[in-house]
Amino acid sequence: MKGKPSTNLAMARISWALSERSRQVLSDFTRNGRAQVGGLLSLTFVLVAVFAPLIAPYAANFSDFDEILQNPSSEFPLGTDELGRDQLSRVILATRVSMQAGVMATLVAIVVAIPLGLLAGYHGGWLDRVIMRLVDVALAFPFLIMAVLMAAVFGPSLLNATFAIGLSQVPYVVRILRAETLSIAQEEYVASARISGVSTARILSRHVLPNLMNTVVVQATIIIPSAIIAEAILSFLGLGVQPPTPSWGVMLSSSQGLIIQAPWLVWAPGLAIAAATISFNLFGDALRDVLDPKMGRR
Amino acid sequence: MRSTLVEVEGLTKTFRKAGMPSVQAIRGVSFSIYEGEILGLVGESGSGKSTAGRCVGRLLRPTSGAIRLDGVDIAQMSERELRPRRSAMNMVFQDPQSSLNPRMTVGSILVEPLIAQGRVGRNDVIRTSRELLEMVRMDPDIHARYPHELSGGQRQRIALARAISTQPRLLIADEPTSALDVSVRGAIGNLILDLRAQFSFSALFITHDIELASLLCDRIAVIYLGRIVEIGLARELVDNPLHPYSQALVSAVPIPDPVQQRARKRIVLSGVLSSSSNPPPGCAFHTRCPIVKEVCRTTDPTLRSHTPSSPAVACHLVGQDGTAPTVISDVPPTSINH
Amino acid sequence: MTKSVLEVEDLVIRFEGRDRTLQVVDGISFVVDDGEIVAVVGESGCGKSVTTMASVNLLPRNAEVHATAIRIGGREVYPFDRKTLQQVRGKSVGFVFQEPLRALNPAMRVGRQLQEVTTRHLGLSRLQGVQRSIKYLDLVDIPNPEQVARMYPHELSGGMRQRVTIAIAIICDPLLLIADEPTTALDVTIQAGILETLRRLRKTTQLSMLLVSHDLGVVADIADRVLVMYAGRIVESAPVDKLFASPAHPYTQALLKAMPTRKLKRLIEIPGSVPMFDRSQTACAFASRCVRSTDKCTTSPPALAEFAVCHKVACFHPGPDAVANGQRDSGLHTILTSSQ
Repeated sequence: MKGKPSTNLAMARISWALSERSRQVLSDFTRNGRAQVGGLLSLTFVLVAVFAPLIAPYAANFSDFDEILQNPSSEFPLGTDELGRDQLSRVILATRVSMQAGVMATLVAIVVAIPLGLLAGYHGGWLDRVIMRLVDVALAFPFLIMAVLMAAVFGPSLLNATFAIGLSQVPYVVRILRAETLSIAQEEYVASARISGVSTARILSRHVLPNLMNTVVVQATIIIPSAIIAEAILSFLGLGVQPPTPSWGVMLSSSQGLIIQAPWLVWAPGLAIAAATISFNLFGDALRDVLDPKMGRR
Repeated sequence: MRSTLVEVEGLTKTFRKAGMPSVQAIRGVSFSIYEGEILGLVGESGSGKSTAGRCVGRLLRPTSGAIRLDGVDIAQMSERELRPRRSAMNMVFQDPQSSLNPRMTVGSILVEPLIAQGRVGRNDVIRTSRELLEMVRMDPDIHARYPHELSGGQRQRIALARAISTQPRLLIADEPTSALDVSVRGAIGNLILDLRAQFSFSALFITHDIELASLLCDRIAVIYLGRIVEIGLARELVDNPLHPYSQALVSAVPIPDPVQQRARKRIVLSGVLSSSSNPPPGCAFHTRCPIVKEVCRTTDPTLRSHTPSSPAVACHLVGQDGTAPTVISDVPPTSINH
Repeated sequence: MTKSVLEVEDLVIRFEGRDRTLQVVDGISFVVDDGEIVAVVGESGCGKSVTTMASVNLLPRNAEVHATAIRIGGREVYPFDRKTLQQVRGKSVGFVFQEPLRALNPAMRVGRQLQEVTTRHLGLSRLQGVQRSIKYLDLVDIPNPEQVARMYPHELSGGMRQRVTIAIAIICDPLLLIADEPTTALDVTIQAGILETLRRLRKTTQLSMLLVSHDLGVVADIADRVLVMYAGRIVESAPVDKLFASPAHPYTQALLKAMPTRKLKRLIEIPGSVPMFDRSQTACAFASRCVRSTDKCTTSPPALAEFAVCHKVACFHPGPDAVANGQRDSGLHTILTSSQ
């Protein structure tokens, strides 16, 4: 929907942000308890990720070998690890990695899934069958195997891990978008456009896609927590972020052997993962509650 | 003799779904729509009337049969071949909620067909949409509003304006008033008549309401279980229906006059409506027909006029001179309780 | 002296919205006598459905119901308490809704659903319940009741399902049957059959009915008395033939004219639309669309008052239609030509 001259007018017309219904949605949202809590927490994580270097008291790699494996104290609120690095700083800095992974993986998933879902749902027929078989095949692959494959082929890195995570979510999202597209395609305004001679491309971009956006947004907020956990898993296995870059998964991994001596090394990243996941889940739930009934789908 | 705009012949549409029995929505439907006339297609649920309408408008591809628009058969054309002919037809649907894209303004909804057919430039959007709104007697400033801000009746007017904007020669209206309040139906019906007078298009008016059809339409075709059972002039058909189903249909519509209504002889159909996935052999109506005879169960009656001036009927029991078979009512008239 | 089956006095119903409270029913009173069929007519938004459901408090939680009195079979049911309501619902009052699919449990055979009602409300044994179920299925003109009893709701046609719903509603021989648009979702030929069944039921079982409908034809067919509602108020109440022969309220007249009959050349339109959110307490709700409205109509709401014998109207200018009397009606956009 970019670049075509007539769509500038279209953008003005499809002023989603200004319609009264969106204002209503916004007001519903801000009053929802879960939205408030989830939204606030998620925002906190995002802000921490953005301002991480400013917030963290120490640099990620600052090691003080005199302070190895210290208990949490006033100087090191979350203790130190086996290399004398401040855990609090590392947890904060690792937030960046998780948020990056979350957002990028989600973008990858959505960008790949939207055209597939649209085509499968709208076109139907053989294209639908082919796409859905591919989806089934993809679902049969455990995501870890795919991630390992990618790491083996392209080398382990945050970027590759993000791609793998994003791609692994594609089948789920395609299914949902396909169902939603099927439902939208039944709407009479789509039939109206068809009989008026509107081209398929225009129908998809002006009628189907904008009405699909609600579902896309909700899916995005659902993927983010999965991506966060997935990145943690991959990094834990050494397939994602490479040391010395901190990631909650890496921190968990390296704390395994020290769990009896220094249990705080496990709590910090573990709680961070749990908290991030819960906040985005809450946010996504609230978003779905607010958006879906408003769509009035029968 | 008026010229024919659309000629439908032997139209059949069978829906196949994996794992389920196929549904023959319409079987061998034939009718013509003349220039400038409104043909009513009247039937109840399951009759196939919507399917027929969508086939004529080529939203669906018929399984077999012909649809001749100005003599050219469009029944099996591909989308590409259809594209230039699409401007000749347009459609209005039943549900005012879903007929307008909730995310588009009224103005952009109205001009979309014109833009798609390249007849309006983007600079003229507002001006054109205001004109269209005036054409359907609405406030031109509504062009900036969104559908959810408008009532059902207003939305149907917009749907109508959109459909007429491309000056189609055939308007297919699929139950445009069924979802509206009774008081608003009149407005939409009259609007269609006025627009027809202004723009001289033909219309296929699909409805379950035979009374409404008798007021709006020039001719009526009654459809039952995928087959046309009677076609005739609207007023005549309603005043003197020939086919037993038409008689039952007319008799079933309650007259808003208690004295008349309770004194009437009414026909109540018994038996079960056959399913479209397994239509019975012979006459489609025989399972419920009060005067069914043996021949009805085995042989499919053809739609024909028995005399040049009488309507076309598909029934074995119509008299040689075109008189209606008498359907004895088994419902005694009730008296009004006090 | 006929006993009243349902008495409602000064019913007010409010809905709690997000930022405002909407009063959908404005203090109405009416009565259903033993053995009569009372129809409540009006368009969407007039409050007719919520009125009937309020009598046994079947409204959602955000609804507030106030009344001076609500009596069913002489028994006070307002203020509502759970015990009384449980006893009353199903036993003294039966309900039939518009959508038979919603009223029936899709996972249970039809006969069983009927039988369960009898067990719960009448304390019958299973066998007795089954026998009664078959009897009532037959009573609602269902062919082969034993066979149908073993079927699931989705295996039945719409008309059959609605008959089953009616059977469930009357199986405990209630005092009153409340039917909310029972035939609206059905084809007209099926509707004719169901109306026929209801008529016969009334004759054989002395059933009283409160029928909600927007279809004046249905009302003409089976009602004894009619209440016309507009924007939460009763605007006219009369025996059915009087209402159709000489309606006194302009809205009733407009509604009757809007029904397509063969005498008309053109359909009648009523300009404007039903007020949804801006209902004022200080004016007649119909004033803005009414041809006869004067200043008086916009300054105070008319009360429901006796116009003729058994005929009440809430209007400052009730009376026969000006158009019918040959005078031109300038307000309504009608083109009413003679019947040639």
